Order: sequence, then C-alpha cells, then structure tokens
Amino acid sequence: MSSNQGNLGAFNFKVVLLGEGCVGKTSVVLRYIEDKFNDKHISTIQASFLTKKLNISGKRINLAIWDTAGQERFHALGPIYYRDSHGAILVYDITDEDSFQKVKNWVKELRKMLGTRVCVCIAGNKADLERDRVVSREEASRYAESVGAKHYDTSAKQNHGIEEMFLDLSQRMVEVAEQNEQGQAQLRPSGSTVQVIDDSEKPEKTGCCS
Amino acid sequence: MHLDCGIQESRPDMIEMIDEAITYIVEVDSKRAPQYKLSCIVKCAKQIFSVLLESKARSLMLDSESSASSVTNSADYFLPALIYVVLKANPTRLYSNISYISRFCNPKRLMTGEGGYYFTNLCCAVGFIERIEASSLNLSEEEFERYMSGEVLPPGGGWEGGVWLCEGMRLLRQNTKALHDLSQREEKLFTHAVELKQEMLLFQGGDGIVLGNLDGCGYVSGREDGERVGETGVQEVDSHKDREVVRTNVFSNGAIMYEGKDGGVSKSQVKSVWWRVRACEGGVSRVGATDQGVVGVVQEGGD
Repeated sequence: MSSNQGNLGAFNFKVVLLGEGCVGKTSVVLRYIEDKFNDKHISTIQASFLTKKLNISGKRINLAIWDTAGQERFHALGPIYYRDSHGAILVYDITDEDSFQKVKNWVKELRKMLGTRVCVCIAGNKADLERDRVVSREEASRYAESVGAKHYDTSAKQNHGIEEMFLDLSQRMVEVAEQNEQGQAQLRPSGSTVQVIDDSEKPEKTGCCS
Repeated sequence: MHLDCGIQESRPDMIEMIDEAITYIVEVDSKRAPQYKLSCIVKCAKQIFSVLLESKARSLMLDSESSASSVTNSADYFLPALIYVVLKANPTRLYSNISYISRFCNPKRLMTGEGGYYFTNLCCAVGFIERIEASSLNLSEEEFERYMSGEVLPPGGGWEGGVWLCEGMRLLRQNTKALHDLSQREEKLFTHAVELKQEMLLFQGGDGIVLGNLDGCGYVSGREDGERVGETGVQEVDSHKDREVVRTNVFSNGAIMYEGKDGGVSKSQVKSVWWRVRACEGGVSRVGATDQGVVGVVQEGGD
C-alpha cells in the first residue's frame, strides 16, 4: 500500500467496478468520466479502463477505474481483478433482486480477500426506473452499513448520485491511505526499500535501449 | 461462438483487424524488456477495442434496436474478445511471458496503469482458458465433450470457411482421418497376408510360378522326343499314385505339387533341366489332360 502516494504527493488509487452483467457498470463510469469528454469522444474511447484526476482539499488523487466482465462465467476470475485495489464499487440493478444478491457475494469475497483495507461503495443503479424497483432502498442501505460500506442510489441515465459516490469513495480511500502511511512509518523506520527498487529500474532501462 | 464476444468473424476486413490484434499479442514474445512486452499487450487490447467498435457499428447498421454504442467498450465485451484473440493467436510462451512480466515489471506501474489493467485482463483470459469447462461456455456436458474431441466443429460462418479453422482443430481432423486410413490399410494388409500365407502353403513345393494345374490328376508324365522323361520324374510321380490327389500343380522350376484329398501336400521335383525349360516354354496352355487323365507338360511328340 506504500504505492498510494506516488511522485509529487499524489494519491494513486485503483478502483474496481464489480457487479453482474447488464447492471450498468460501464454506464456509471462513463457518466462519471463524461465531464471531461464529450459524447463523440466517448463512443470512440474504450470504457473498461479509465482514469480521473481529482483534487480534494488540496490533495491530488488519480483514480484508475477498472471495469470488469460481469458475466457469471467470469466470476472465478474476480480475485485477479481486485487484487491490490483500494476501492471497489459494487453495482446492482434496483429492478433485479439477483444482482443485489451478487453484490452481497462480492462483499463477502472482498472482505475475505482484502479485509478492511478496501473501501466499498454499493450502487443501486437504474434509479430512474423507480416504479420497477424490487430491492428496497432501506434494505440495501442497512445491508451496506452492516458491512461497512456506503450505499448510493445512482442513475447513469439521469446523472444522479454518481459524482457523490466517487467523491465519497475517494475521500475514504485517502483516509485509509493516510492511516496506512502513518502505520507503516511507525512500523518501518527506514522506508527506503521501495525506493531502491524503483531507482534500479531506470539504469536497466537505458541499458536495454542502447 | 459461445463466448458471445460480438465479433463478426466472417467478414474479411474483420479478419484482417483481428489478425492485427493477433500479431500484437504474438509479438510479446519477441520483445525483451517487460515494459515493451506490456506495451504490445496494450496495443493488442486497443486493437480489440477497435474491432469491437467496428463490429458494433456494423450490427447497428443492420439492427437499429441495439443498445447505445458506448456500452460496447465495456469489459463485458472486451474480456470475451480477448479470450477469443488469445485462443486464435496461441502465442508462443504466453505463460512464461506473463510470469516474466509479473516478476520483472515495476509493480507500481504494473498494478495501476493502463498496461496493468490489460495485463490483468490477459491473466484473466488465460485463467479462464485454463479452467474452461462446459458450464463456462453455456454448453451441455456432452456438447462440450464433442467439441473438445473434435467430433463436431463449431458452427458459424468463419469456421466453415476453413480459412479460420483453428490450426489445432485442422490437425486434429487430419490426424483422425489419417488414422482411419491407416487402420483400413492395415486391415487390408492383414487379409492380404492371410491370403499370401494360404498361397504359400500351396506353393510350398517350389518357388516358381504355377504353370498350370489340373484337378483330379494323379501324376505327371512327359516325353522327350517320344521317350519318357528321366526316370526320376516318373518314379517320383508314381509314388504319388497311391494318394488320392485332388489337384496337381506344375511349377516352372520343375516342381510338381500334389494336393491330396486329406489336405496334405506332397511334392516331387523333375530334375531334368530340359524338362524345366520345356515346362516353362510350354506355358499354361500346354498343361492339360491327356486321354489317360494325366497332366502333360511336353509339347513335342505329345501323349
């Protein structure tokens, strides 16, 4: 986790998007990033790996958002995706009870594999389809709270709740990272080992090129 | 294709685009430094995205009810497409290259950047292929078995064309056919061998060709300018008189073989070279029954 704070004091966070297929993971992230790009650009860029630069109270944050394939057949590959991630956004469809069950599975798995280091947000997407809702907001919120996550109603279509969700997640990730930094600083008197590895790569690179 | 990756593999220009992606992923092995390997993977991924986009654009033209084009680029489509490309490409030392990159690439760059993302996807693709099973392809157990054994070929335009037939599958089919051919030939050979063995049993008397034979003949006699051929021959022949012979074979080298009714075979040899020569010259037509029921092999001064 020492890699959070990269050069120039910016935080680099990896955020994975998890959820069943067709719940709108990609739409959510596209809506979020869209502020920077116009519609035409969106259709030509790929949307499965996106980055976003944020500035929260003077702290620079680089978000790398990883979209994942949601089909059930790829479920077993999850650990490869969320390894070393700092945050996770679990998306479900409020009109689909199954997708909410999937989210619960993901939470269990994440907590088991990554513990509390990972910040989790649960997004009830397609909030614009309120009349078809089958997952109650109270139930979802209560569940989210019980697992130490935040629940958001989002609508990628109407651009609702997404900005807040990412902002909150980023803030929490900063908190966790700062706690970690402190914890590690106490545990490890000389924190230069990582630096050494980083430096050693540069001469090696020039050697290869020449 | 059961991966549902949305690639229209039948179109020639599509194939070209996919080929380009395959070229990139194959190139990984030729690069030395991990970051170059990684950049090949990124290039391959980018190419896959353009393939997906192109596919989508085409299907949009055909079917206006398709959902928004922006969703095409999601990982839901990308990963299956990547798996498809990896399967098609079958890159050299893929596993070693992955291990190499994960060991020697700067972890900070590997785990956070774009390259890391695509690398992770590649790991996922490999992971998926490793533990591929019927349920992960939405196939029944039997169907899956049949595909895996090469008994049936996957449907779909591209596969039927033969151009896109995966090399392994093609080889598999070829080998199955060759094996079938071989077993047929072996069977044929075996029956031939059995026939030959039977003939050899018949030919046991001599190693020449059969000049002629006559069913039911008791002995062979011949004349040389009106004289009986050397006594040996006659004597030998006579000794077979007691036997109830059902078939007499005369060979070009002078051997005479009698097949007895009891299935036994006895033979005699006419020692005279002249006789042999004569026998040869006489040919099959000269071998015939005389009025006494003998096989005459002599031409001149016949019986």
